[in-house]
Amino acid sequence: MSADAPLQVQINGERRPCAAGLTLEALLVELGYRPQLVVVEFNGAIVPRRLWNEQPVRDGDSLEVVTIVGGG
Amino acid sequence: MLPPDTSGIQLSPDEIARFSRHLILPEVGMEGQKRLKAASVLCVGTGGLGSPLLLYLAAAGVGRLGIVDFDVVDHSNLQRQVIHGTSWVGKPKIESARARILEINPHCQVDLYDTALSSENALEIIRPYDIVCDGTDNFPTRYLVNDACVLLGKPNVYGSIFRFEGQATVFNLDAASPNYRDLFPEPPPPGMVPSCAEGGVVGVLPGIIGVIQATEAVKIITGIGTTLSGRLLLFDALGMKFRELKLRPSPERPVIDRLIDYQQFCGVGGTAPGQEEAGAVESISVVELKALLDGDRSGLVLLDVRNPPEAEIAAIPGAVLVPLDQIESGEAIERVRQLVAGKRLLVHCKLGGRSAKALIALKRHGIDGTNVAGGINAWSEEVDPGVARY
Repeated sequence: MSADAPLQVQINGERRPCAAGLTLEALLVELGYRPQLVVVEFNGAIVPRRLWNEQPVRDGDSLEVVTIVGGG
Repeated sequence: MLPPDTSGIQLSPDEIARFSRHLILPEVGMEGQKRLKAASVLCVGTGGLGSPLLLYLAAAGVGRLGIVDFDVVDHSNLQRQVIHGTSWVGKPKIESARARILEINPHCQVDLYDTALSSENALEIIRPYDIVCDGTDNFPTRYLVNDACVLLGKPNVYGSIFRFEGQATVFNLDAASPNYRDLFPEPPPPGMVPSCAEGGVVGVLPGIIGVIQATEAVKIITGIGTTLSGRLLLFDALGMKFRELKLRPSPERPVIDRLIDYQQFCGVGGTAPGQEEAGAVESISVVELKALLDGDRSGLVLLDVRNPPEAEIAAIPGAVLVPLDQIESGEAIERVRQLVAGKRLLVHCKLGGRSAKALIALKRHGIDGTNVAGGINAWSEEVDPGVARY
């Protein structure tokens, strides 16, 4: 992500710059997550995976990304 | 809080001495300790999470503990499954756990279920308990535990771990609470999430998460504090950080009105991870591999697709290490193509599943090869016992 990116988003509690015009899915890929292996809380609500490609990311949005883990 | 019914519950002089540090806490006191004695908790799985959970619930004075597990203690368990000792290797985990629990608190009643929890037996096993603690190691059982708890109205104290990361919460504390399906509406694609056996886990991690689960169970029983219901606690051991996520019942959550086939729901079809892929590729046995390697090796390439730390533990001499993720990402395809260069390609991993996946990925790039059935584990068992098993 470039330093002069126009957006600021909150990812797992930390403010980060973010390119404009990304969908939620594209942002996750850019952040290095494997989308099939995470659950995302977007602005306080868990977003179903099928909507990630339609969800635009805007300035000030907040994401919490949870890796799916199953070990015991 | 559980419906408190402590009528007829008395603490003996030994119990009063034993639990005195609880009894002098105003938040617990005699009433809280009697609630603990009257309570019953079912622990599904007695592995990394189940070990600390059971140790602390027994020590805290929970009157009845149920344990569901069909596994035996293995050497590789001892790094984190602290309820089991070296002398119990090869013996049933539930027996090992009971012996340790009774050593800690002989007043505890321990009920054993030497079985895998299934859609057929789950309701019957869970029904007589007040609280369920989920310490399982696979997704089908997690959905099963969740749905059974919803159907029976039991709080489900959830914990989950992988490598350096853990999660904990309380599901289904009451009818309005979120449950596992609100967090994970759909299971991950089969085989995509590695198990602790494949990906590793730092031994102290289940200690932390399991003790958080035990803490929540004690709070629910005694009715004190604020539980994790509605909050998912996320723990990162490397950064030593906790985060929290709000959980709410999802408007899209399906109605749970019966138990289903959870293997099918999670797409695992009752086979171990990688087993289906292994059946889909051509393979040779480790004995056949040995014969090939003892002959003229100039026409052969043996590829090891495990991760580098695994190759440090044990390796088949002459194997070239190219980890599966580099093959699946496409990054290592050209390197493999150059290595093969007209030779016969043989691929191995630990057990034969990942090497089969690698062959399927390589085939998409026009590279054919043969899987080594059973992997280096079988090599150690059948060819060279000097190769360490892990």
